[in-house]
Amino acid sequence: MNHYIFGVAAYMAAGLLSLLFGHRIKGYVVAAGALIGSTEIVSAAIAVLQSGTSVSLRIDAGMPIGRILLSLDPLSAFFSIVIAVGSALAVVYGIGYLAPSSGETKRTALHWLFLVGLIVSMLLVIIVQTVFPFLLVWELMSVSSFLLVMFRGERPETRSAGLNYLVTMHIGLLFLFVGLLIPWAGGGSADFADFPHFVRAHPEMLGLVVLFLFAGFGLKAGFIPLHTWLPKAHPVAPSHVSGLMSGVMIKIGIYGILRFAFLFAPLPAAAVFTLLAVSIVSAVFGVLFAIEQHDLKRLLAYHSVENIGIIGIGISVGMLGQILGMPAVALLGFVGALLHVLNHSIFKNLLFFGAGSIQRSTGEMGIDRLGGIAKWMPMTTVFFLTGSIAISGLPPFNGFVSEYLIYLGMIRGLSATSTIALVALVATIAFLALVGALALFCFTKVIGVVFLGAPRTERRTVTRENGLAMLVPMGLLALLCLFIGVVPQPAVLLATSAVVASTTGLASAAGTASIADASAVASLLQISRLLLAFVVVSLVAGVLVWVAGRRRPPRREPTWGCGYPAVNPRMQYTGESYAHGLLSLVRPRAAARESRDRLHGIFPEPRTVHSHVDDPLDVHLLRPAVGGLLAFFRRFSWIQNGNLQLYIAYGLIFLIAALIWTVGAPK
Amino acid sequence: MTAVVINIVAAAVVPWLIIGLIAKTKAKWAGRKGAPLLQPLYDAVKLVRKGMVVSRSTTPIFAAAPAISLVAVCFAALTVPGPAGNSIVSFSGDLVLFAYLLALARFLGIIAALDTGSSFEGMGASREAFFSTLAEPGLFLILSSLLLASGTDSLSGIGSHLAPRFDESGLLPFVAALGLYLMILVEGHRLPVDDPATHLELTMIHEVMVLDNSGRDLSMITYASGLKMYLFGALAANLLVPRTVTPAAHAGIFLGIFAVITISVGLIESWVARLRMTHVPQFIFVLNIAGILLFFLALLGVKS
Repeated sequence: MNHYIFGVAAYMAAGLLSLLFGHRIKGYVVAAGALIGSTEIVSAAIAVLQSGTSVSLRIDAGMPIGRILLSLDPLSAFFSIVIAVGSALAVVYGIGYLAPSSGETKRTALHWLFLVGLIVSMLLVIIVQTVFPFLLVWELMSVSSFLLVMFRGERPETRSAGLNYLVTMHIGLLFLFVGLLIPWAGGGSADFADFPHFVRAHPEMLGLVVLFLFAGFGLKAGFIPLHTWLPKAHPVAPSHVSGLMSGVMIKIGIYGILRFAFLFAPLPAAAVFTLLAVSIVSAVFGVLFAIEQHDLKRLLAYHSVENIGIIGIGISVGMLGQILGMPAVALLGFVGALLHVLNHSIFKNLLFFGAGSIQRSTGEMGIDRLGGIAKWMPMTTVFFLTGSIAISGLPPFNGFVSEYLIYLGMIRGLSATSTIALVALVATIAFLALVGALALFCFTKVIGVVFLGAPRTERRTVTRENGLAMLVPMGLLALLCLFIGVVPQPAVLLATSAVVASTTGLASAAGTASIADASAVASLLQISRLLLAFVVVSLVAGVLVWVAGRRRPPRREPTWGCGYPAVNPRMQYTGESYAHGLLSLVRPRAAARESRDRLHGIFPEPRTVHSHVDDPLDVHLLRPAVGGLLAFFRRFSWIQNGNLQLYIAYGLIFLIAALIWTVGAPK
Repeated sequence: MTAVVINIVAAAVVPWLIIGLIAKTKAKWAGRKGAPLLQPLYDAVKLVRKGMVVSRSTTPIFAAAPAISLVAVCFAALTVPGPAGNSIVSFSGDLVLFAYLLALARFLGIIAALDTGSSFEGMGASREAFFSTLAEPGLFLILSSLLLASGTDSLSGIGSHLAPRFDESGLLPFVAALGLYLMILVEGHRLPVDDPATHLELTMIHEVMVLDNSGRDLSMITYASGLKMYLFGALAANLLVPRTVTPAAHAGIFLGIFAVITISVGLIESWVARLRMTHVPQFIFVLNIAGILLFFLALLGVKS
């Protein structure tokens, strides 16, 4: 615990110290604190995960906060690793990313402060286990991330996305408030650990509490249909902030869901199947919406929705295993989900960093206006390609391992006797396969259109690699993708001990602190060996191809134009045309809203076409709902008419009513 | 050990024979004599000796993709049972590695096609990605239903553990084999999904993706494509071989089933025309429906 608190303090100190330094070295001060802090936190977390016991600290903060229970248990420890690794690299990347803006001293000074605020609040929110301080740091997390999104607050699209984010987070806060208040008020204890007593005594309240909590946490995580803030906020934020929010912060929502799923386990079957359905919908529609995007960062934001869905599927499989009394299924589901949390934080940071590098170099995020980046930015291309293969869940990278564990949990579940469970499991397997294939579709589009081929528009600036501060974090993340993919055992072991320590009944199934059962361990070892061999053989094949190319250079000719001589780069397949076949099947009505000028005359003037992709859930579900609410509340707008005297009268009326109620209330 | 050698030799030779036998069947049906069965192999040897022409707009990804995707398909082949029965490598949930290695090969093939910057190859890549995306859930439905029916968790165990009651009714192995047969047509780019003999780029899927590949790369792509057909065929054949036969008879029946599958692919190619591009998704939905049907058959069998 001391190491952990020291780590958090290092971050805080670095944030405050950065105010004293000049704008050129602010970033380095924060990075130094981040490296010290993250090292301390990871070491504390690994110690907790290895021993399997939690360390806690009780503080009496006095009025109005009251007692605080800080507890670093294995579940928090696992998430703290995710936060520490992601944050440190985001800070380093941020130095490079913000270098061109360092002249705007006020803006960058505030940025570093808020960035530290976000990291510290994330680190605190996972160890605070008492209702009121928990909500306080939760709110601190939302507000600091809102301020980070507003980095370019003078732009109208940034302001609108930022405000949307702020409002959405407060709706989430309201859900959490209700969900936490019911067991607090009903059970009398503000510690999360005492909540199970309350729901055991009042089983009728369990459904309501779980519904509110999961809605509140689900909003932060970005489950459909609570996802609409994600694709708005990520494109306007600086890239390292997008990476941190998308890779790490939304996982705090997953943390909340897991925390209470473990506390209240076993949850009723209805809750499990609802979460499973919501997760499948999030995964499938997240990736479908991603495919139709034209903006690279919006596309990545929708992929977070997809991956949150995959994590949710893992959690649901775990809870299903608990209901069915199949510990191996439960363990594999939960471990797969937790590992996917770690993996997604790695490759999503990597992809956002890569997108940020392209934005720095070209000033462009429109997929169909880019092309041929690979020739100018080969390192970034290799890193982004690694992240793309990993996020598609393909071997030999880390995304494969976590998806494999979730699949294996479902395959183990096929020995269940319940027909409903079997139908659910096989349907989930098929949907997860579909999601994997769609992710492949989406990232072949990104790699093929953005990085390969020829540039589609003339570059305004010289496209080249950015500095080491941006390349090194990407390189480290790409190496982590490969390492966890080929040697998954250490990461799986950490996730396993987090799950085993947090759930009752799984410890016996796990035996020693190893995974599920002997055959799962053996399978993982087989996969590890096979993929290691695959990587080596692929490298050898690559070297042979290179040597052969040197010894007998191929003839270089223009691309075969099928007999057409005047080929130009504008004729290349764009992202939109690449996705058209699939999207026209899924959404027969055009996905993109287009506005184009009509052509006139025999020799028409040049015309422009604007194409914009709407989120159908936002347009057809949320906006009408919000519009209805607004219309309803507008009826009461006469109460708030700006007349000061009237407001004072309201206060007076309230005081009198309160007086009468206090005096008159029966003792 | 001999079993491993037999499986490797089969995976090395049978893909060429499949391509050759399909061509032979089409020739015979058209009243021609046809090229020798091993002609595709001779062509490949000739291609390897020839030089290559590579587009100026490509990156090293284009150069490395054919080799690495072939490696990926070969590693996927390790998990599939061959004529000698068991697969070379087998573990719980190996079907996920099998399917995802094939997907990795597809990923590399698609980005290599987009690397040329050709609109035709972009079109082919888009179609390939689209159709194989639709087929993926079908493959997982078929394989997971087979795991459910056989009570095992690896591809190798399916054939030998398929419960006797499924042999008696006989329906389940055949529906599964039918589903895998459709996978051969989709993933092997055969009619009625894709016409490998067409001469018009606009109507191609796989062929137009590899327009800019030549020489050694083209031969590797051809072999990888044949090997994929072999793998789905091997999964199907493994279901249909009777349980209680000697290893030699097992291998013989296995290869016999393969011959039947291959000749039928050739006959379909002689008889029907390619589906209109907009009707291909409907054809692939048949594959998914076969998967769903198979799941309910397996469920009924397990429950009874």
